[in-house]
Amino acid sequence: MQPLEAKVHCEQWPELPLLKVAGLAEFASGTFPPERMLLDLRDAQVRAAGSAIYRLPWAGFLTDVPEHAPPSRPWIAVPQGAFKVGVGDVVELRPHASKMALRYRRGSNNNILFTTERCNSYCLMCSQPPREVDDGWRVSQLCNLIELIDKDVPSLTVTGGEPTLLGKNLRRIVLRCADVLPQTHLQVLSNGRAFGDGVPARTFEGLHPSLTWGIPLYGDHYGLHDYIVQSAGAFSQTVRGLYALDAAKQRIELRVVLVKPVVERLSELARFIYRNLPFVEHVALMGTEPIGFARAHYDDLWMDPADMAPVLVRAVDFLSKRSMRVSLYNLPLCVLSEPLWAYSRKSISDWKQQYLPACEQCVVKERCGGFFAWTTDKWTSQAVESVRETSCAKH
Amino acid sequence: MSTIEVRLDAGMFSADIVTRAAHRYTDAYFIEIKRSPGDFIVRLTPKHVVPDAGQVAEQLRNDVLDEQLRALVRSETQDIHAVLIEAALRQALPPQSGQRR
Amino acid sequence: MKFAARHAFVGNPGYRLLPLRFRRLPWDSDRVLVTSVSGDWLIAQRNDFERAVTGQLDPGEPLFADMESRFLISADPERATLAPILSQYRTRKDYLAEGPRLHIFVVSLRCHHTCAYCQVSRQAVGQTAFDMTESTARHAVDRLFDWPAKTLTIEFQGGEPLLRFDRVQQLTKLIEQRNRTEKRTLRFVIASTLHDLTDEQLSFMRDHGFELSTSLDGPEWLHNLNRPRPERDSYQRTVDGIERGRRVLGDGAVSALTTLTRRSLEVPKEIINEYRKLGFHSISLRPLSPYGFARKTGTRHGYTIGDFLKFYEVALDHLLQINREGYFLEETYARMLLSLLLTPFSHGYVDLRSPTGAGLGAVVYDYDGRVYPSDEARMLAAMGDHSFALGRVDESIETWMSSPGMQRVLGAGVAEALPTCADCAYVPLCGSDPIDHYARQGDSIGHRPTSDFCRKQMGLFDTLLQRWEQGSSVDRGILEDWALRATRREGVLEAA
Repeated sequence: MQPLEAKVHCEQWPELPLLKVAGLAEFASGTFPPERMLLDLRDAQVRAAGSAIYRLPWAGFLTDVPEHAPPSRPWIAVPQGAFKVGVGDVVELRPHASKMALRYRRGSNNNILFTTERCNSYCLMCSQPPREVDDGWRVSQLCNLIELIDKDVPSLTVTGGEPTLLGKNLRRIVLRCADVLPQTHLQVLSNGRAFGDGVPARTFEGLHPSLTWGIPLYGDHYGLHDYIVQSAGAFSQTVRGLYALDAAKQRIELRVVLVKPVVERLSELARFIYRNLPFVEHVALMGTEPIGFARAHYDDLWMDPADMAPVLVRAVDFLSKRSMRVSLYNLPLCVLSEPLWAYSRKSISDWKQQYLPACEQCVVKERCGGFFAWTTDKWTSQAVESVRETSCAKH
Repeated sequence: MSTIEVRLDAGMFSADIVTRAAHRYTDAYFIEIKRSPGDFIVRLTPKHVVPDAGQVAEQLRNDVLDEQLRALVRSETQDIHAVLIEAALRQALPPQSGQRR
Repeated sequence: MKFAARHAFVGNPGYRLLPLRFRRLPWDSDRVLVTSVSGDWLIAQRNDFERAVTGQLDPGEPLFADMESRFLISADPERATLAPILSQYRTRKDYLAEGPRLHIFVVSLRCHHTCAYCQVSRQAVGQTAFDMTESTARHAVDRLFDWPAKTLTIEFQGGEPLLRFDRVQQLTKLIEQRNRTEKRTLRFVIASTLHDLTDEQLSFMRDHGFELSTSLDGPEWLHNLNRPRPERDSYQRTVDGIERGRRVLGDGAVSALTTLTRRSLEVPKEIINEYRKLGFHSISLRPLSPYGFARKTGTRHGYTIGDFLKFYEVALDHLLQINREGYFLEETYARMLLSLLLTPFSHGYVDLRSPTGAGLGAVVYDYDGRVYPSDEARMLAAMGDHSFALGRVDESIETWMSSPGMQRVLGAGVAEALPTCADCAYVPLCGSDPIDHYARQGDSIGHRPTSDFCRKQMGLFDTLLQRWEQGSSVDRGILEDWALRATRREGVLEAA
């Protein structure tokens, strides 16, 4: 696992900036103003370019060796260790704490815009347990961050907590993305409850060129869904929110975490989705992330994915025959029957992903998403093992 | 053709229920419903030769029981039925014919 | 943060019934089909269902959740939502949204054939008085675009429309010209014997994207028996027309339907095998209607709906066998009924709708300028009964919609409001046909126990539901495949 934050040495920083790490290419392209960038002096070619470049109004310099930094200019040294920061990344510097946090990583498969720690649901398996804090300051930081993100990043995820708790500021963030990053697909992860509770979804109509809403649904009746999200009335609000989003011509993906009570009624949920929500463009069936609240509820939630096989095959078959895209997330290939492999995606964010010793001999390791970095034995399927041969042709 | 007679307990079933059930048989039978104290007597006279005439009495009893359930459903859902349809169609109805789009 | 157990989310105990209907399964009287107001459904043991109706279901039992999930019952109103059942209902009745999409132009009553079952009351080939005039054609095109539908299917019928092809061409061009400003989506279909198709006609049809719908009653001996021409070669000419049509317009552009006579009912497998032999992937098995010459010749060519249903079961089994062998061949009516049972969507067939498709889903512009809500209404008029005429092409569509004919249609046009239909488990999936009931029973409201329309619908729904419910997973897969491929074609599919 790669940490997202580290202690750093820094001198002469007056404030809390967001900074983009720049190399020669960033200098040459002129896409971002030097005032918001850190010139990366760890690159010998940059040092060779010399004082002509140094004179530009860079916010500061990134270096292993503080002596490389021009005198009287702010610099940051990142100590040797697991924390990696590279050219194109955006970092947040907190000088009084001497800490640097990574807010955007170039080349990552999952860059997020984290909107708030607050949430109005309390899912039994929540991987990001909510905190009741006033973190409205994040909105303007996100608007700044968006401006420093590479224009060619394929996608970003807006997440939290519950992004709709931002009220109008969520629209502001989506609009900023539409303006500054028009080529970037945006996915907002939300429980959708606000739209079923009167917040107009139509404010998002036509707002962004490529926007999908990722919304969890856990049951075909309120008793099950409300239990999973620990919130009475949630099912009703989410379902009504889904209709409101559809009426506002929004693209919708449903997300179903495969905890035991949900899997026990998965066939019925698939049927319910088809009958009532046929406008949904994608259904993601997701292995549980063993962190946060999930850990406390192991007995209620854990089901070995290998035991889900018949139900998964049925649900995937049912939905895909009805022209709904289905994907399996967070499930290693060895626990899925081969016909399901085509639906499996490498979904775990790179910085929290790992393979296990059992994977060493596996012939399909490259295609497999592996495991969460914080998985433990009891959260790992009994069926995990290297796949030795496969009938699928190599892709 | 011999007439089939079916007795139904008037304490359990209303005239409406018996009539509705018997109505289903008016394709193949002439139907007569008589009232005696305590009973309805349904008389079914076949119009043509009907192969399974022997099972008719049992079928009619089943239908009467079903009509009774239907009456229960009706009484409980009549109002919400109208509300549901009206709510659904309020959004769905087309513009008056002839109106331009 | 305290986490609560499952039972804490049940809410207020108890539940209420939502509008539902039920039917004992004819093949298993201990079980019932239970349908919601939108046609979602489940099958349950009758005694469990009785417990549900009498308030005795336990929230912990699977049937409780199953019924909630289908909006047959509703538990705590503070936590439940009825939004999905409203959405399902609107989806099912989606065909109401835009007004009639199917527009039938009868360009001529003339035809070469003398089919005893002719529903059209055809005229001999030389009788040009029975052709549509230019003036009528122009008025009809004006009326066509008075309707709001964004997609318009224009179907040319007759008699034999090829006998007056210049009118077909003129109408096509007038419509396309007008459409340059209207910008609707247009579909052109021609219902024809395809006899004596000229290359010129084929080129025109190719250039305008026509679809061809023709009659093929079965193997040569049956087709020629049913559909006499003086030259006695109807089958050969039809097959030639099909092949030439496919070559010029593409395989997918040519479809065929049967009309079933009493003789036809004896040979279901032969009919189906003929369609397979000719490379069709779709067959329509339509029973006779009592219109036109069919009514006059009823005793010779007629049969009961019971006979038809027996035929249909054999046909369906044979179709399943063919599909099991790897050859896709669907029956179009089955496909529609299965799509009603297995999907939440509406369909394009105007003859099984509630409110009725007559006038609301389809309009017929006759050769003489009279306008009707359906083909059946036109045939009744041809037999002297104008009860369901809407008016003339030079009147406004508002006049038509408020005409006595349309009022008669609407008065009996909502199946959910008709006696016996109102309680039928299939009514959310079924339709009303006031004109059919009027023609057969003398009353547009109709008497369901003696209604052939009702018997046919219920018989087919029962047959298909039973096959699906009790079928092997392979057979289920085949039937689901038919349902899921269901297109939204407007299909009256009357062919000459």
